[in-house]
Amino acid sequence: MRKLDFYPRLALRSIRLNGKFYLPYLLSGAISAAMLYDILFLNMNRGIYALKGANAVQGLLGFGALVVALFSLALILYTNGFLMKRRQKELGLYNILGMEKRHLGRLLLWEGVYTALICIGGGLLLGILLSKLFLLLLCAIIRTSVPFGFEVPGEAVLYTVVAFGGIYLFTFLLNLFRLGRVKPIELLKGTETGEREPRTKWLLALVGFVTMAAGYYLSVTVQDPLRALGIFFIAVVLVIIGTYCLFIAGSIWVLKALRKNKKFYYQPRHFTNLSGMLHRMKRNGAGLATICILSTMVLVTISTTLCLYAGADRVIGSLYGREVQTYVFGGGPENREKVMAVYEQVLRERGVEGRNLTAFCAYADEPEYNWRTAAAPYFDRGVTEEVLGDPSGQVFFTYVGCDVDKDANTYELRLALESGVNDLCSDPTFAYDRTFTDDGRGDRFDYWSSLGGFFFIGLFLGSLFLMAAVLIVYYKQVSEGYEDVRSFQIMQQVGMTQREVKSSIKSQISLVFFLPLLAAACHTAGAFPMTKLILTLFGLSNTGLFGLCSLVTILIFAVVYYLIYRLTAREYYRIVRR
Amino acid sequence: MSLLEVKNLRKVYTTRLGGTGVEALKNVSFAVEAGEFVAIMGESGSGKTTLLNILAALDRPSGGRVLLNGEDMASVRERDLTAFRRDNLGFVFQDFNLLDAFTVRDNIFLPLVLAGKSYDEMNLRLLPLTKALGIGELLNKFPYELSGGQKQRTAIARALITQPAILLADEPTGALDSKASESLLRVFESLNAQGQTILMVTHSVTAASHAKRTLFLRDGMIYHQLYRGNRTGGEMFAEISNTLTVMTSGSGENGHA
Ligand SMILES: Nc1ncnc2c1ncn2[C@@H]1O[C@H](COP(=O)(O)OP(=O)(O)OP(=O)(O)O)[C@@H](O)[C@H]1O
Ligand SMILES: [Mg+2]
Repeated sequence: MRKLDFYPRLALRSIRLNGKFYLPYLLSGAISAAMLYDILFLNMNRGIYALKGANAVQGLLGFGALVVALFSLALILYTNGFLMKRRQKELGLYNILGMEKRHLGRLLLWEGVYTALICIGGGLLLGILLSKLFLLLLCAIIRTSVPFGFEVPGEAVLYTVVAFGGIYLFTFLLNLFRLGRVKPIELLKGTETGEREPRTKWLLALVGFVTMAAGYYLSVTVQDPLRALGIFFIAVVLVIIGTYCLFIAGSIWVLKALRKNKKFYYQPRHFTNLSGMLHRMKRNGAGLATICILSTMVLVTISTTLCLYAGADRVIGSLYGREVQTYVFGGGPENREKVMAVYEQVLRERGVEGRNLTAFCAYADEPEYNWRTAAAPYFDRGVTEEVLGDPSGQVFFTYVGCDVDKDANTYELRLALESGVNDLCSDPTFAYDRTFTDDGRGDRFDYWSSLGGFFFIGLFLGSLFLMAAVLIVYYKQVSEGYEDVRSFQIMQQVGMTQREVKSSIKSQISLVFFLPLLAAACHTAGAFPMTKLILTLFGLSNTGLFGLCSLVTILIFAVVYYLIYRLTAREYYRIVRR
Repeated sequence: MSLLEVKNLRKVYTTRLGGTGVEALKNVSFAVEAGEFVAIMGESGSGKTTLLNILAALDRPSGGRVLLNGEDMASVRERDLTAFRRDNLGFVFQDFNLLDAFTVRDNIFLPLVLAGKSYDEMNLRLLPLTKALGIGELLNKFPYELSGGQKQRTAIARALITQPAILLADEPTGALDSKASESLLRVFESLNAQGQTILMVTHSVTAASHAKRTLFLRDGMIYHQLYRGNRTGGEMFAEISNTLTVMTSGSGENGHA
């Protein structure tokens, strides 16, 4: 009887024993599961189905769920690999103490079971708790009213359990496979294997340089928005390859070059840092590159979707005009004033406030005049005074339109405006060919909610990527802290003061931290011309706004990143000073 | 005035649980003259490492004084202690304590770099040391590429490059085989012949028989001391072994009394 629960108990014990490493693993697993549940919940929410124009959002959410699931798989595999490497010594010890590999396998099985239970159970609980919050956020973003009630769609629960059950099963099998292949002595050595000094890999550095340059070149030179979309993916792949190669090989090259400079190298501040970084750059490079790529993903997704959302009013204006609008074809420039007077009167009578009043005369020689495109900037800024085209020619049409309150009934307003314009037309002094007045709330709303959906998905995935970056940073710092304990002890024995230890740690950590951030900001800037073009496909051509959104995103991200830095640096210092 | 004076040294380790403390050193007094080569022997747990850590200013005594060149080590401020240690004392440890991230050369340079010396001066000091220790060929290698004896000689070079008043060594031969131990002790002897003061803690009678004087520590007190004088290594070996036998059987008698 007692033998039966030996492994479950041992598994629980070793999870607790490795708390520093297991806790973030469990936490990130649970958060990923919660996020998958929530996005599925939104995708299946009947309340949202009922909303007007929600189809586009629903599709986006489905796509988002797929990304969350795949990304969770990658994240969990990565952190699990990390965890297993850390624990090799412990498993090796069990092995030496007489546990056979199949026993170790049983231990891993129980650990996997507990992990899955905690992550899926905790994740579902967290997801259900947060689901209403996400629903509120989504509805606020796409500016609709929130559906009533609280529901827990069984399908969402099922899919989450299946997806994460699958992920953890796969992880377990992978661990088992790894366990089967290693020799006991390797198990024991584990993390301690003396890391050799890395060689400079010229070829890799060169490949990195070329791919990186190519990626940036593509981004900067592309002109055609439709081609930009295709090129975007090529450039992303090139830059990812370039980032990995340069971080892995380029960093070693730079550090070695610095070390060659004796005057620079043999200074208390640089001496320990430089060799410390060089020593672990082989692993560091890939980790830093991953952090950099994740940060770039966060920055690009959030800045573009934020820009789409912030510019939605303008985009919709240039695509659909104003919410109520009147065209008067023919006649002269004086029609503008007259129609505007009708608008003012009707709005006043009905007590509706008009926003973004736009009124202009379009002059053109040819009837095919592509006035929509030409008028886009007017809708952007709500200009009332100007004319479109060459005012020495003939008036092609006069445009007057405005947006109104969310609660206003645009249909009735349109009828009132129509009759007002008709009255105007019955006046013989009013010259015109034909007029028409319309309202366009339905289409506008569809477009609105898809832009809002983009923004929501951007935020959602952005925070997932951010969590992954945080996790990787944390694991990196903590494991390096454990590796560095001895080095710092020795250095203190040899004559390093506490203060020097502290400042050495600080400069080393901050370099490791801010290098990826800097590179990510560079990538975001490099992608700017290309993403700007892609945004024009959505009707957004406001470079200033996009620049502002990117800047704001980078700043906020930098603040969050800095907080993480402070936290992990403290953890690292606490480990090292023991 | 002696180079190093230890007066009525006492060290009590208090346990965190607040139980009765362990009195690792009870009342230790001795002096070391400049140019001496002293070995300290004693059973496991007799307080050798404790004593060395206090001499090295890595730990503070509970009572008594340690004077180096007449200066009381207790009067050195906490934040100046590292610099004091760096400028006056050199250490060699049983497990070498080399840094894997540095080449042999940089491991040796480490204390000087921390002291802010220029590269040229470091190089100037390195040359005679590497010659004396026979590690000139190894300078560009990394610690994981070295044998135990080579590692320990690197550690000695690192301890000596600051030109310390005293070289302190805690079981420097502990991790070495007999051949490497022998050659290391030869190095100590020749360093001592050039005037380097050395204080070495050891378990090995062979190691102690190379010293000019051997102190025996028992139950936190100096039990006995032997001067080598004109005796050969072999004679010294026999003498030390005798003393150890008497000391251990003596502790048995004490136990009965
Ligand atoms: N940090 C400590 N806290 C509490 N007690 C300690 C501590 N360090 C040493 N002791 C105790 O002090 C006594 C002397 O220890 P010390 O390490 O000096 O012995 P040693 O002579 O170096 O032994 P060995 O030959 O085994 O290295 C021992 O009883 C030991 O248990
Ligand atoms: Mg000891």
